[in-house]
Amino acid sequence: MNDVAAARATCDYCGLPLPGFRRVANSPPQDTAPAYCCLGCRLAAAIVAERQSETPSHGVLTRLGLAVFFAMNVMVFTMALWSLDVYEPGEQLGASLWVDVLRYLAMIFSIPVLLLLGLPLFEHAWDRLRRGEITTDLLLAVGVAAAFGFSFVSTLRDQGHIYFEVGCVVLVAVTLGRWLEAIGKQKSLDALRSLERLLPEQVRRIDTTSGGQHETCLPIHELARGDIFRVLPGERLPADGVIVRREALLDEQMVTGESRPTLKHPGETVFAGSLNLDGDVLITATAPASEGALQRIIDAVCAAASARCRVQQLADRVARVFTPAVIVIALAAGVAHGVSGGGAQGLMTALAVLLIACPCALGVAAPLAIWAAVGRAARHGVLFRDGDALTQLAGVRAVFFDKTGTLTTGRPQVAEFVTDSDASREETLAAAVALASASTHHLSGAVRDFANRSGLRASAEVFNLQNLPGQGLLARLAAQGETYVWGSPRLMAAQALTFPPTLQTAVQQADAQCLPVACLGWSGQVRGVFLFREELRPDASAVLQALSQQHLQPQVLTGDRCASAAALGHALGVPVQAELLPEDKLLAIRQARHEYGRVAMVGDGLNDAPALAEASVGIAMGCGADVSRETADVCLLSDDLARLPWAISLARQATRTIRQNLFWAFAYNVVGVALAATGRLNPMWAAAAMVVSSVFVISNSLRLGQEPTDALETAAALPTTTSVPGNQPGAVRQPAPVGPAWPLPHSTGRKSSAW
Amino acid sequence: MVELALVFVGGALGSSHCLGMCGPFALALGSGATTWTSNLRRQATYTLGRVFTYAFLGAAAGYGGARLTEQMPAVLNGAAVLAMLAGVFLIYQGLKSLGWLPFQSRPAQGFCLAAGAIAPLLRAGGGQSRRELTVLRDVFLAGLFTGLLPCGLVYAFLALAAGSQSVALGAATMTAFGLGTAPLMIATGCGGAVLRGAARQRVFQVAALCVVLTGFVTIGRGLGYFEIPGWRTAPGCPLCEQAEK
Repeated sequence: MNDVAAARATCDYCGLPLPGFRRVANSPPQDTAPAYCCLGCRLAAAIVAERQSETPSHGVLTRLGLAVFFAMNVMVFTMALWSLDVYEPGEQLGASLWVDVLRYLAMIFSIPVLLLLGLPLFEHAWDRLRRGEITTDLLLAVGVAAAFGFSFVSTLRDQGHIYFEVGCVVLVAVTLGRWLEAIGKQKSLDALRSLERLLPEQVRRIDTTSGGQHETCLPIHELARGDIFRVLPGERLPADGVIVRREALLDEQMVTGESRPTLKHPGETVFAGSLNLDGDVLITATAPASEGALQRIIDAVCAAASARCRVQQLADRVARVFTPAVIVIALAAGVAHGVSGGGAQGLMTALAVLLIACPCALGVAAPLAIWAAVGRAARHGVLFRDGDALTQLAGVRAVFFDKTGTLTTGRPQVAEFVTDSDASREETLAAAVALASASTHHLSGAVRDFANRSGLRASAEVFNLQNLPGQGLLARLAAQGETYVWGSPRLMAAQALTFPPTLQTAVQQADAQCLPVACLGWSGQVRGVFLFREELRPDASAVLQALSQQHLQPQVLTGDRCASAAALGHALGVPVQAELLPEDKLLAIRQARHEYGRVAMVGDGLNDAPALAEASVGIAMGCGADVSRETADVCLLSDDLARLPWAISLARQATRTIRQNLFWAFAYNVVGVALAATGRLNPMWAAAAMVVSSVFVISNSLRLGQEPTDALETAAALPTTTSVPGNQPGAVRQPAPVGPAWPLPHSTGRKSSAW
Repeated sequence: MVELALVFVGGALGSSHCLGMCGPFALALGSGATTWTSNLRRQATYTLGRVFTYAFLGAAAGYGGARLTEQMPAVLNGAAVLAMLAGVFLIYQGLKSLGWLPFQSRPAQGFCLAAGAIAPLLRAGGGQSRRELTVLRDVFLAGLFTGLLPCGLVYAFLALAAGSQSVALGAATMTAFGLGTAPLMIATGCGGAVLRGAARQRVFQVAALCVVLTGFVTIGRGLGYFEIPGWRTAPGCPLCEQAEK
């Protein structure tokens, strides 16, 4: 027993053991989320965390708190009064005296509630009335005032019912509901504000006009285009600019989504919001802070949050019909019950109808969920243009990908290095690296990367270098040695080098698949051939799999020729449409919309802009600082494809939440109004139900903005193992006519005897 | 009343749980106090707020219990059923706190709206420039709202209050419980750590056992309500006798 107790995990808040035996120390916790022993500790932890942040509604809260205190007293007196009813009159001596005392106590304690919470309600209702609006607030105010008035008269006349508790509970509930709404809105906007807080408030401007360097601190908005400013290590850049002096390692994740810090030299462009990790740099502002990269992101998110999406417009339209309808029902029910059961009965019925039908939940159902989701997405580098983008993405049935720059990195990679014989392989590679180091061609870069991965560095010096633009280069590796030829097969032929049969086959097959090739030869013979492919993003196939698991149909659109596209499709296990011009892509999307309904198109947002615009949801990858790409409904700041399934999960979750909220708000209203109008609902319960409904809708929405731990994250998690052919290190390659599967992994340094 | 004393002890021992949950609040309240007397005032006010809410909840539970008994069909002895239900609930809560239940109830995943209510009031204690009376008001309200935080121990004793079937007795039960939690909470708020880690866990276990014990006593009392012929030939349990008077 002792052992078990010792092994049991403890509550992350209070330190007491967690109830139950399930979480023991030797079974690793499923997630890193804090664990609490009870709901109380969960709430308490949230309260302690909350103390860090500011809440503006302190005054309202104090009013509400005091009113709650007095209302509690009123309730206790009323309950005592009611329990006196249990006894027969006269059974207990002094019971009638008690009744009087309790009625007066209830009256005295309800006066502060009326003053604290009633006055603001009356003021608000009066304000709207003067502008010619008849609101539910007005009717509520009238109802509450009537309830109090009736009860005052009853108390003073020592006869008749009192309804102090009803009035108090209604006032508390209405105020509590409004206050919760305010808190909810504030919380859902927190994510946006947290982005804004990233920008520094002050900037160090360097004045060089007076000869020497003079540094002044000024508010960020006073920084103008062309100003030179200084950024110290650990600070964020206040504005976009170009580095003028010294260099620094910058973390640009917030702006470009690039997770690795990059070293920036003088002359390079840098973005506002990047974090300076180690250098003390001087930067010329190319734009004022208000137009910086981070500000553009913030603006985009704010615009998204404030745009009224279709769901919301629908809710608004319904509310416009709903409110007058409720007022009519309340009045009618009140009059009907008043005639049959007396004025007090009628009043109570009308109040109950008004309270239960108060469309507060309806008003916040959609916007809160959208704000929370959009804000959370922004923190993870996914920008939604508006709430519609969110709901559209949730309903997508098929996802189309552009290939270049989306599924691939857009950089070539050595797929295959073929030599005539094993013996000369090392020597050939060394020579190739030496020559490639002298070239700036992007294929040469790929060869250098390839050699680096094989652990080889260029050591040989190059002599008599001769560049042949568009073809390659000639050089010697020793002052008096052979002339080495590095370049295209055409250059080999031009230099009268002959291809051995293996290399000839390799080049022909590469040609058939339209793969780029680079050759190296000397002494009349071609010695080695490099075949290149575009590098697939490492997580591409995993992401496509994750999408399939989300019951989406991923497809690839590419301008590549068929053979090459077939290999791609084979590797990724998805259909590929090849040889498409940009306008063909647009047609393909249009076709798909007929077939699937809603489709998403993922591209880099540049050459595939028409297709992005045509899709139900256009998703641009790697927008980085350029969030203003108009054609995309969703921008992924980074090149991280894995954000895509995550964003789709989030969108689905958000849409589900909105539907739940709306359904709840409507269903509850319809049932509640029916109950209330038939006089079966006490206004107190109606008020309580109203608060519960608001709490449900608000907390349901805000859960979207909360960080992980729940099903959302696990749904977005990518499968860790993939079974994509060719992606398996050590796979045996067959000399198949179609060529190797796509993509070729880093393990292709082995000699291929197949070619 | 033996029972109220037991409830007080239950509260006192149970406050080892309170220290974990509400202790940080008490410490936060004291952060702005310049002298120990002003801190003591704050702590006492905070506890008063909590006790007030407990008393209110107790009164409501007592009233609810009375109404429930009234509604029950005559064949059922309402008082007995209620007492036994309360007893079972007390035992359940006690065993749950002890971790002796084979299953774990998953705490609800929810967004904390209560945080927005209590946090600003707690923070009020931090400001030094504000008038003492204003601070005490806010501290009282913080206590008032803290009393509403969900807490298994409170629910257990609320079940007992419901069993009392009286507004006054219900309020008294919960007041006794609240006052029982006062000493440790006030001491913590004033002087910092009274109980740490392992000691706190042990006291908490004793408290949980206490709750279980109270549960058994309550069930015994409930059984006592059944008037079975021949049952009372043996001398009755003193607590039951007490309860029936």
